[in-house]
Amino acid sequence: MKNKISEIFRKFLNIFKPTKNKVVRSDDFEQTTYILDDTDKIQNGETIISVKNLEVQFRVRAKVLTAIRKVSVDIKKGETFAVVGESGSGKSVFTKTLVGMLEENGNVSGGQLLYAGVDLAQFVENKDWLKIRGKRISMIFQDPMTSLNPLKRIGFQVAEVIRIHRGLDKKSAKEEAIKLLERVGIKDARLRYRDFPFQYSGGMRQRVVIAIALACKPDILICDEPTTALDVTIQAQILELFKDLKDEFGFTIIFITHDLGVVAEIADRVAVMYAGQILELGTAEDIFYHSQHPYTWALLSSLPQLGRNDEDLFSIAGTPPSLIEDVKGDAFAPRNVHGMEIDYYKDSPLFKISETHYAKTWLLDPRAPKVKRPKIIDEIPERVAAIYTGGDL
Amino acid sequence: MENTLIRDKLTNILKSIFIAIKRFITSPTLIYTIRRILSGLFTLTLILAVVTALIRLIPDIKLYDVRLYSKLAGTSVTAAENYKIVQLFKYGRVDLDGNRIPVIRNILQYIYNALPIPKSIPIRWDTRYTVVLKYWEGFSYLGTSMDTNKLVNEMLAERIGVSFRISISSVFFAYLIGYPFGIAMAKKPGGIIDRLGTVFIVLNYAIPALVFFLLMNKILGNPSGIFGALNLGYFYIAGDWRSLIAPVFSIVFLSVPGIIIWVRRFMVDQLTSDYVKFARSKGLTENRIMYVHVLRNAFVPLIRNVPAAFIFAIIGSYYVEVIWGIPGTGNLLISAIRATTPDVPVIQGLTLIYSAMSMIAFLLGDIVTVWFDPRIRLTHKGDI
Repeated sequence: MKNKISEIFRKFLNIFKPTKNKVVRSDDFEQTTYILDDTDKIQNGETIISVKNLEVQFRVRAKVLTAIRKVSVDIKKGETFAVVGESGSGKSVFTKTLVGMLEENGNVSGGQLLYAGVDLAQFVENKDWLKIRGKRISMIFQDPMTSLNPLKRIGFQVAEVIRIHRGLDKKSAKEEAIKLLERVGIKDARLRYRDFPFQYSGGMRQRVVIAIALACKPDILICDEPTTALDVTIQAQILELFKDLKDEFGFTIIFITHDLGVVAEIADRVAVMYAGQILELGTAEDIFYHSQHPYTWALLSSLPQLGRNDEDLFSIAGTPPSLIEDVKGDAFAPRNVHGMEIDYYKDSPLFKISETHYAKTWLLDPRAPKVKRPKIIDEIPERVAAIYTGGDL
Repeated sequence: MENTLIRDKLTNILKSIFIAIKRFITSPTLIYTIRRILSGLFTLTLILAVVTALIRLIPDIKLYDVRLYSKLAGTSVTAAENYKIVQLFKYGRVDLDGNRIPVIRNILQYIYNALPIPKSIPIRWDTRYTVVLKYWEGFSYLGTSMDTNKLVNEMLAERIGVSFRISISSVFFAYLIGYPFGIAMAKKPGGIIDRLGTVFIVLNYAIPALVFFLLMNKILGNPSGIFGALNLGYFYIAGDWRSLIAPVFSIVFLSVPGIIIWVRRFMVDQLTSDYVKFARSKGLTENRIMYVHVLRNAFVPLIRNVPAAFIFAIIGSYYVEVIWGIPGTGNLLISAIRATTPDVPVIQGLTLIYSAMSMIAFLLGDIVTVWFDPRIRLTHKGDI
């Protein structure tokens, strides 16, 4: 009887415990003993994150939505890896999976997510993630205006992470935070330490957000459209800051965006995502100058920067497929001007074009007819050069 | 040498004190508060004017005892006339010479009497109503009750205590229960607690307050019922805190859903906001996010109503006070209005007190909000 009462009482107390982020899985999971201190030993250029056949599903009412469909990619230490794609392509879900911040109705339903040899996909409890998040993998969100707590002082918010993850006391955390704020370009950081976020401008707030993300010298910095909400001049400053900080801190950047201009500015390697799959993967040069996938062509053709006055701006017809049902064949097929019959019933494998360049289209099969790339794609080098020299197109 | 050092230090201290005072005096909050108080006094004046003017509509004959008048008239007509004049003088309708006073002067007189200025006012006469036997000396004079012939000030002072006690405890418990409940519901929208809570709220709203109060009075007070052992009783007994349990419980029960709904709503708003997402990506524990970051943000839109809740609990428990026979201000207002001749000074006094209290409550709400949220500045329209 007594036990029963205490049981009920404990259950009642559990009501007040946080439940978010707890992924409950049916298969029993044994606590992996993992050593994350080894990440420092990984040399630049070696794989730091290895995603293998990752599949992420969401339960939407009674249906299942597969947002990430068997994605495999290796991300190397020290590189800037950009993920591009239109809305709903799964790029944000992909990065949320990396820090275990999927919405409550989502879970990793298959595949591996190896970070320095530890499978993050096996993490069940929030407390496992707390060792990774903010410390090993940091994340920056789109809107700097709302990313900071409006009622806490800037200094508190920066020092908080330092205190929690690095165990510094209040005073030295403050010194550290001021140093960090100065590093990301806040002038008079000491004077403005006790300001509230509403006293900072948008660009400055994004700098503060970057400072917070870098407070623990993470291995990986995930930027989810970090410059979308900023105006163009501030955007350029922030991108410049990213480059500088990357050289100094030596972290890996995973950059999510739908702005190919920004990608060209910052990325070493680019993955083009569509309907939860990576369609083309390669270095920035591969993607911009030697793209092979019709979807990448379509994306590049619809860039206003590359357009000419005498041309109509290209747009991709149709809408992305619903991922609630099983997608048969190639998801892009209905919108693909170069679509073939096989696209509709069989998904293409990832063809290797060069050591760094992969594309997922049947066009690369030896049996496929030779397709002429759109004129604009062939002209990209000249057109880009024209933009930089300020020449007339 | 040392002298100059000390002098320098002193001047520095004085300077900083001076700066602090200057900052306080010129702070927008203080200026705003003073303006609000002034405009509040103006509103109060208007309210008193309207109430006094409305009370003027009661015919003179209702304001004195006609039987006593005719009895006095049987012995002396002057005494009877004097009696009438004295009675009407009490309500500011005539002066002591029997000349009629216009409405405006009547209003100004009432306001003058209510102002905290030392004054003496005649309150008792001899049997022939010619000689004043007793003057009232004091600051604010709100008249004497027609019913009990007691001073309204004293009646209010006597009765506000118990009302205040009920309101403080009921608001305290309502927030004590409503707040964690709302948070628990917000933590998992659509979860089991959220659903149960919604059912509770809907059912609670469906109960008419009066029916619930009467029911609680019968159930909780019944000595042979389920709660008989607690010995709560049907009626309030002065000095026995137990007899307050039933009324306080009833008020709390009915006011909890309102609190839960708002806490839940603002909590959910905050929990889905970007800074919470970012805080989570910083690697903070859920509890830290909840209690360090979210709670204060969710409290900002709620805090404004807390002082008002206290004040309105004092004002708004008429039913409870009548049903449990609690001699509070709510009960006083009801009986003053219900009397065959409305107890004019009591109604006026209560109106004054209630309006002043609600104004103070809203002002306090604003000030507390500013104190809670640095983004909010109290300024008047047009000020920067």
